[in-house]
Formats: sequence, C-alpha cells, structure tokens
Amino acid sequence: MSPHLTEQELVLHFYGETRNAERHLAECSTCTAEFVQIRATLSAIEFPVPERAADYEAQLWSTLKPRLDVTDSPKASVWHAVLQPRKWAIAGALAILVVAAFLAGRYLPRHEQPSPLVKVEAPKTGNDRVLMVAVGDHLDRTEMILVELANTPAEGKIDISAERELAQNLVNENRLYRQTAQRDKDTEIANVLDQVERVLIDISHHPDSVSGKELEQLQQRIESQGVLFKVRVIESKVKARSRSERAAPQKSSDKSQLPIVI
Amino acid sequence: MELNDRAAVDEVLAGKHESFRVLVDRHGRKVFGLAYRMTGNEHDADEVVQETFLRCYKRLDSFEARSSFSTWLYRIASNCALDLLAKRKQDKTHIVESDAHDDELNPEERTLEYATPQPGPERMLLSTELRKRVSDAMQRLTAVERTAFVLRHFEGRSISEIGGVLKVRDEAVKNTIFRAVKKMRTELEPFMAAGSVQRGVR
Repeated sequence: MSPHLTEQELVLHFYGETRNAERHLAECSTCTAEFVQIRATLSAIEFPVPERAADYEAQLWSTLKPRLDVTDSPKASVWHAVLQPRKWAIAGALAILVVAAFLAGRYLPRHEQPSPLVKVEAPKTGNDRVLMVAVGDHLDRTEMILVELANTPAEGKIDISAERELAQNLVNENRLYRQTAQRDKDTEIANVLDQVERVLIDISHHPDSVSGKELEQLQQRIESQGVLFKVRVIESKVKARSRSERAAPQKSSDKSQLPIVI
Repeated sequence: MELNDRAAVDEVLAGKHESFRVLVDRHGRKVFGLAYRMTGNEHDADEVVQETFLRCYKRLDSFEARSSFSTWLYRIASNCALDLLAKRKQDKTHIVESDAHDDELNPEERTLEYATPQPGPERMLLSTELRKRVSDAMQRLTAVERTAFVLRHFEGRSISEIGGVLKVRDEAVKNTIFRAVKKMRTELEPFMAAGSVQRGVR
C-alpha cells in the first residue's frame, strides 16, 4: 500500500486537485476516515449569497452609468494594441526596429554631438500615464503583502510561501520602476521604491515557513521604516497623478512628435 | 449576436462606451457573490461591485487581450475587496467593540450583519449558529487566505486562475488554500463534533 495521504493531499482531493488519492483511499481505512471528516466539515461550509433582484443588472448599470459618464473614457493604449493577437505582426515589426536601432547604436560610429534624433522624445503624457497605472498596480500588490504580513499573528510556525513568492515576483518589477523614477528624477517615488525593494528582497529571502519570532522581527523591520505608510501615501499620489494625466489634453497626439506610430 | 468579452472591451476602447454594459450585465452578479463572501455584508459588497467596475473601466486600456477578462475582473474585484477590508481593519477599535457587543448581548446580531433578509430554501437548512461560526472563522483568515479560499471553495475557480488573481504559482495557491482550510477546520470541527450540525449539508 502506498504511504498515507497527508492532510494537505486530502484537502486537495476534496477540491479535485489530486490524481491518485482515490486509489489509496480505496484500500486505506485510516485515510478514508480522515477524508470523511474533512469532507463533512468542508461540505458544511456555506456562505450563501443574498438573492439579487431580477433587474439587478439594470439597477447596477443605472448606478454606474452616471459615474462612468464623469470618468475619462478608456482608450486603446499601445500595450492593448500590441498585445492583441492580430497585432502580433506589428509587434514583430516593432521588435525588429528596436533591435535594428540597438545594433545601429552599438556599431555605427558615434558622433561627439548627439544626433538630433536622440532629442525626439516619446509621447510623454501617454507613456507616463501607462507607467503611473502600472506603478499604481505594483504598489497595490506590494501593499497587499505588507498588510498581510503585518496582520499575521506571530505564533508557532507560519507559512509565508505565498507572500514570499509574491515578493519575489515584485522585486524585478520594482527595480524597473525605481530605475525609471531615478532616470526621470522623480526622487520621491524613487526613494520609496528603493525602500520597498529592500523590504521585498528581505521577504523573498525568508524560507516558506518562519517561526513566530522571525515573523515578529520582519514585522518590526517593516513597521520601524514606516514602509506601509509610505507605500500608501505614494500610491495615492501616483493614482492621483495617473488621473490628472488622463484628464490632461493629449498634446502628444500631434503625430509630428511621434517617433513611431502604430 | 451577443458580444464576447473581448469584443466588448474592444468596442469600449474604440469609443462605443455603451458596450461596457455587456460586461456589467454578464459579470455583475458573479462579482457581487465574490465581494459578498470576501467582505461578509451586502453594503460593503455593493460598494466593492461598483468600485470594481469603475476601476475596470478606467483601466480597460491596460487589459491584456491575451488573458481572460473574467480572471482580470476577479483580480480587480479581489483587490477592491482587500482594500475595503484593510480600510475596515484600520478602525480596529470599532471592530473589537462590535465583536464584544455581539458576543455578550446578542449572538445572532452579528450573524444578521452577514445575513440577508430573504433566506432561500437552501439557507433554511443551515443553522444560524453554523453560519455565524463560518462567518467568524472566515474573519480570522488573512486577506490572501480568504481570497484563495473564497475563490476555490465558493467560486470554484481553478488553482491557476487563483494564481492569476494573487500573482503566485500554483504550489503557493495550494499551500494558501490548505492553510485556510486548516484554520476553518480548527474553528468549526469542535462545534461540529458536538453534533450541532447536520453533517453533509451543503
């Protein structure tokens, strides 16, 4: 007989996420008894959703519509266009252009004076807005991890694998946004992102499971630096900037300024 | 012909804003269900639904057309619910006082906070006490655990979809669900062992 199933395997079996548990259960009364108990508990967990009126959708739309009317209309961004399957050909062409530009920059003789082409700037407003939205989302997710860790009771062994993995995923993104902010001389955002990066790296270097004391130390480091507060402040500023840039007239729509038009 | 999600998104982005209604009509109830289970009450759930669709509308241009719209929308809804929960948690004094008041004075009051005025036949089968305990147990889950548990247990979302919402790998999703279930069992099994509930009722 195969080894007994773990509690986690039995839980996952309840949700249909295991493959071979059925065979073992057929021949093991110990695991079957445990599974019966898990099934009884999980089957009893209900949280019924209140019935909505038949015209719920119409009511929802009538509440939303006036709010949408005063919201700036969404428009297809470069990213949306590029990521549509039928636009992959364009994306491919763009990629070739980028590679060609890179190679040209690398191998063509350099002039002492920068080429006038270098002075042509990308449409700043549109790019900034896309960047601000992305940074806002990034800070949202960062805040979620920090809140999660700050509110987890530091008792016994604590599994922080999900938070650790989220932090790992966010480190590279954070680095890119920080470098962009530094390049744009956006010191306030760059400084906060710098602190965030240290905390994310700190979290990602922890094992999946930590002791109460380790978690407490991590919580203290987060708290002593006031990172969560700073993230919230900068997040609201980024979102406000994103909104104002959306509202700003799109001067960059003047095609003569665009280096590349999709 | 009815528009699919992607076509509706394209139409909105092309300036036909009325097409957003297709998305609201198709996903409104599901988002409400998720929001209700995440927040635990109708008022907050309604707030989350509206905020979700507003954020969705504002960010529609950042929707990556290669991904599933409903997964993207669920991610926004989960984040809106998490934001609201964090906001509510900031007023800890209020929550603590409310809990103490509920426990001491009227154990059913708190349940009513999560309950609906119109119980359906299925809900009649469940004891008020069990519902209260489920609510309480879910309140004790962390935000990520609650998100993963609600999405898997109630919404039947796949592990990879939940991974998409939480932005973690499948293995981490499984661990999080297990952590949540373990906590739910710890809270509920002593009560169930006392025979206060009809086993197998769902």
